[in-house]
Amino acid sequence: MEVLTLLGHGFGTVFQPINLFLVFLGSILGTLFGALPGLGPINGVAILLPICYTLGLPVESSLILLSGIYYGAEFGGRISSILLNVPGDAGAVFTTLDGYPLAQKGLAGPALALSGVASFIGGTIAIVGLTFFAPLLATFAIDFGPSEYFVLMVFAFATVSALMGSNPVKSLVGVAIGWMIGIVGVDSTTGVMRFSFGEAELYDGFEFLTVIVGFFAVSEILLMLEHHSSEHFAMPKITRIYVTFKEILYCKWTILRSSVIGFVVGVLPGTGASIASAVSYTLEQKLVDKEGTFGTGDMRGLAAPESANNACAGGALVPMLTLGVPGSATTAVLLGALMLYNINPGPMLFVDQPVLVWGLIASMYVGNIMLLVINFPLVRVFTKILQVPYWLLVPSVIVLAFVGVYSVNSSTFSLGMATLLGVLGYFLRKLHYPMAPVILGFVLCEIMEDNLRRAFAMSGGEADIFFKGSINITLWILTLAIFFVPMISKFISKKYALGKK
Amino acid sequence: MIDRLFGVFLLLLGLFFIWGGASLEVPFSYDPLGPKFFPIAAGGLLSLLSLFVIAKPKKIDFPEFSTLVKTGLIILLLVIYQFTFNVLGFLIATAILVFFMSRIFKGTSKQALGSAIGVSVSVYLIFGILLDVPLPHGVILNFLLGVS
Repeated sequence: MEVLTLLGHGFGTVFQPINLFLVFLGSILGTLFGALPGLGPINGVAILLPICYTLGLPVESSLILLSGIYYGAEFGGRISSILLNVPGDAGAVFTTLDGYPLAQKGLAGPALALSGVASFIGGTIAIVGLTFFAPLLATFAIDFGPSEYFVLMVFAFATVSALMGSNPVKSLVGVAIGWMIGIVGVDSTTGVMRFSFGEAELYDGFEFLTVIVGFFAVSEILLMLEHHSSEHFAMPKITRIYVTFKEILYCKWTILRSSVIGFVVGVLPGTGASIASAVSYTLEQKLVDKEGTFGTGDMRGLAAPESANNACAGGALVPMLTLGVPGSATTAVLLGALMLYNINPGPMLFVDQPVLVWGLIASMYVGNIMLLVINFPLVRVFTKILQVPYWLLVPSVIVLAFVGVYSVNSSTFSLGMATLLGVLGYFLRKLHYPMAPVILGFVLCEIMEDNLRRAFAMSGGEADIFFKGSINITLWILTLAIFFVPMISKFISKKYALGKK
Repeated sequence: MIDRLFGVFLLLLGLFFIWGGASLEVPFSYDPLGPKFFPIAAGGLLSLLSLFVIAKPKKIDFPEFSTLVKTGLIILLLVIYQFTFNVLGFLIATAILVFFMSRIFKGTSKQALGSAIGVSVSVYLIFGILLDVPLPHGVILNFLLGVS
């Protein structure tokens, strides 16, 4: 079992004191970002990434910390959903449906504990899946040439636009805007300047950190004006913070099914935790909710989205690590982080960077256990921190984000750009343009264009290179198929609604 | 209405990218496609999509006027922050930013003052001193310290 040996080396990396500390820090910070209403995993990663980069952390340590924040946030998102009926992030919306009624029944403690266990199981199943599935996919993907890569990107953008948000047109607009931001700067093959307006600071294009801070810190803050701070909510009393075996066994099939669903949805490029939890919740409702108790405080209705969104975080890392195509918006940012360290993502990652890949995977096993352990005793602390007033939280977030952006190349120009992109992001989000396609388009722009042009250079300008070979054909078929998914799901939900009447 | 207006903005942006891509001067290219194609494709895609948005705008509920004013104020504060960052120095510029942001998010003057001092000093200590990030001292502090 080669995988196990490699994983063993990975644990060797994780058990270095500094990395162990970073896993711990990532788990705590992640839970916090997840728990704070209005801030999610992507904001956490956006704020911490510039800081990691300036600190000069080695790439595996940075990634261990950042992905800790990622899955930690999926863990923490449940706290405010259950206690306040305010989802901590998009993936936790479905957690409120049964979590909040449970808290109102006086079962806030058990609900937190059960969802913690469900998150842990979901997360762990996904990491096991990642451990064994990712290397397989990577060996398969080594045969990819430029044309296969390009078609793979087309497939990724097709899934993003078909599955993200309610309106495919607006998702595709996001992709185009992402590309445009990515196009700015010098063209790497010819040295021609594109859309840099003679501005020296734009010759290298938009700084990755500036873009994500603009989109996920500045615009978030502008939107926070409309949210309500949680300081005025009445916190329900938390009594026993444990869950009985009987309660876990009651939910066991729900948890297992939802974990698998979450993992699979996560693996699909461009689909995030919100879709995973939605799919698993609706499926469980159809399968096990015979008495119609879902939505009124059913433990299974709480376990389903929680195990799914944690499994999704693990699943989303599969395409990111093996194909260089992120599975969600947050993994797109993690992918950008890799490129920041001059590491080319793609199938060669497993061969070229075994320390990074296996250290990261091993850190997730450790992180999940840490999350489970710290969540029980610290739940009261987290609920206190939840009540941090916006007048302190918001300025702190923006200052931390801006210090990070400034420190990358000590320039205030980046601060202005972050503000500008923040305003653009604000309008996009207000007008219901989903942000995941934008960030995916931006991160993948250069790789996509390079592969397109390389493929044409290989074929001497013939387009048929994109339709040759079984991999290309399969990817095109999948791309076409994905456009039928929304239609089918609409059809099913219509039928279901009729059946209920 | 705002949806349609933004659609027009997208259309203009798309056309601009088509024009900008087409007018790039490429002295020599190793590949048949060259650097022109991708901007034109992105611009073309965006222009095409924006037509759909313009044709069928959705009703968007924007927040009330007072919230929009606050949004504008925050943007203004961030712009001011950028331009005062080097002159006033990190400590003072940040304190000003945090104070007004705090006020906008409904802190009392006392709370805002507390956060202003607390956030700017602690971030300076952590990043400027502990992590060695070169944060500007600003003209005033440099003068007081006698550094030129």
